[in-house]
Amino acid sequence: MAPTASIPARIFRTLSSFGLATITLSLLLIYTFLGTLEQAEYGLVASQERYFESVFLDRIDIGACWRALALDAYWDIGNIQLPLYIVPGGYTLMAILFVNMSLGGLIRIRKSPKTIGVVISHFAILFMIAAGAVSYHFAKEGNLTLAEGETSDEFRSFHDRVIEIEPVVADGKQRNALVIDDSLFQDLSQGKGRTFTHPDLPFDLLITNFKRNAEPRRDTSGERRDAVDGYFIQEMSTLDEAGQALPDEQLASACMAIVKDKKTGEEQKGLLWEFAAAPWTVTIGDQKFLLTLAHRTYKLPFAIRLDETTQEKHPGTDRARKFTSKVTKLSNGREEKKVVTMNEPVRSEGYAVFQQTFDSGEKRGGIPQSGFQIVENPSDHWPLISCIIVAIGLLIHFTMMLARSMKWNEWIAAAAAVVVFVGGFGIAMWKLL
Amino acid sequence: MKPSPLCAMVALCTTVFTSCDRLQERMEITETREVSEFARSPAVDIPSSTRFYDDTPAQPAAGQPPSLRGLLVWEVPQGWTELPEDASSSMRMIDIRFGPNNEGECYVSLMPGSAGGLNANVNRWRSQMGLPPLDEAGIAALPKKPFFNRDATYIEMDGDFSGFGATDAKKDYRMLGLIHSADEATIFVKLTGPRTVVEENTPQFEAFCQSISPNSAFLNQQ
Repeated sequence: MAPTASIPARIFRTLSSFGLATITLSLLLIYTFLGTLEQAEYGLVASQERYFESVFLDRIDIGACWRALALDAYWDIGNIQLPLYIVPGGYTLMAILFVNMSLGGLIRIRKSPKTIGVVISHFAILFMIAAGAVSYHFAKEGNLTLAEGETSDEFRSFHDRVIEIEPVVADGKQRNALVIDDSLFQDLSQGKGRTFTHPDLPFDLLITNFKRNAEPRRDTSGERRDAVDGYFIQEMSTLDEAGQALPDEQLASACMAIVKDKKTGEEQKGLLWEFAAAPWTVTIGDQKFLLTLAHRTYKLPFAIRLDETTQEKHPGTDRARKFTSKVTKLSNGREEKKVVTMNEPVRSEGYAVFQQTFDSGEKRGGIPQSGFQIVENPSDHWPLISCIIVAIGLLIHFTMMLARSMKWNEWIAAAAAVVVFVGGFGIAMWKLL
Repeated sequence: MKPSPLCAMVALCTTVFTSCDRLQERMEITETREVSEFARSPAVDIPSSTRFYDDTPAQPAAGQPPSLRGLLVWEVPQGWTELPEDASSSMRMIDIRFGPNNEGECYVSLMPGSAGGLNANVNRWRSQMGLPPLDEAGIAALPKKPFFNRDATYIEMDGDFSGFGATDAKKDYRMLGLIHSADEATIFVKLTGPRTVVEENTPQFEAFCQSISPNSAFLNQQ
């Protein structure tokens, strides 16, 4: 009888096994399929959160997937959801895959000249997974809209919301705001509330009745208990008329805010709404505070001034061919002229500024404006580097296999293939850039 | 196996205590940010009706901000009736009725800043007419008309009209509108009424819009 392996050895063998890799990759394939189907009703952001960024998968909406496949035309199964409890989410699966490939693809794999290409490719895939993790945890993305002549050093997140409390200060004084992240209040639906405090605030703030998509309505009956200043929050569907999920940026969240004076205990109620024309003003004594529910604001390490923006059209049509913005980067008293155009971002100090939209200004008083997508991603180029390394690894592996069967010198053949690949790629990049 | 009474009691207590805690949770705010020196000046003490784009008429309450009517001059078309200022909401700078039974209404309102943007406002009006939202390309393709020395976006749509907060839709209505949006303020001219009545009054609407201009005498006084 063969000697029984020790427990650490068995754990190592399991974690580095082909079986685990197969199960993990199969689940990721299924999640990709289900997530893509659910995206039709839940939208890209929600679907991504549920399937690819979650530690555990909480449920599968069978009904939504069924409808996305248009099978309801034959048999409408209604709203069926499959609740799940200990099924790993996409984040967990990627972590398992990382461990599995590290142990199996780098440590346990038989190391010989024959496997050098495979080892290189495994390393590159691990690098790609790491790039995803770095991007998920550290990347910031948002937009900045500037009219010609306007300057800003802030951009707004596409998807992250916050509640901000800003004391009103005299003109010229530094303005500061307290920030509450949406992860701290988006669970506060009807009947749930959370009080936020800060030693510098003369009041406590209770947030309750949060709705992901809503609009304020006037309380015409005057009898609603949830009405504030004659208005109440009406929850709206997150689906459009065709049953498709509205894009996240079209959703307008809302909540009720109750401010309690720390000294007197007096309460003031207000409604916060993402699309409101102005903040809610709270007066405590002789001081005023502005409360806003809005997309998160990020600060840039430099300011951008839009000097000129132009649009080129395809000849004889109204179809846009190219938007271009001439901007000035302002940093520490220095001015630097830059040109941002479609597919040719400006990169500076870890940020990439992409030309996103153009508005001739016809509907806004005749002043043209540009919309920029701002991305700060420490792993911006890692996927490209990873793909190049995977390609080199596989090229070495297959060239060596070919050389062995053709009785060539496998090292010379592999080196020649890599030189040709890198040379060709270099020339292509040089031409493109 | 059936759950024991003790288990049931524990579960009940947990539920009760959890419910009690639902509004008791406290948390200190730990995050702050410096507002950019380039950020626009904050809008302070804006009433709820303006914050929520509520353009339905309401009785003015004591202590409301002064009227902005003095900013504009205009001509009321023949056959149209302008409501006295005190019967209008603070949102409506000019409020007019027309039609055989005064069933048509037309008003002008002003909001601070871009007022949520053109897209949001056009789609808000479309939702009032029971129409699906337009995408950016659809909104960009909307016709323009001269207004306030600039080109403003012109909206014309038919449908069943439900005003702000209304529960029942008015059938077979038409809406005409002009939106002039700038960074400092957005001005709206909106006309609604039964389709046939609006068709008859469209030339008057055009003439009314063209008559609206800044009141230079008032502005010079300020």
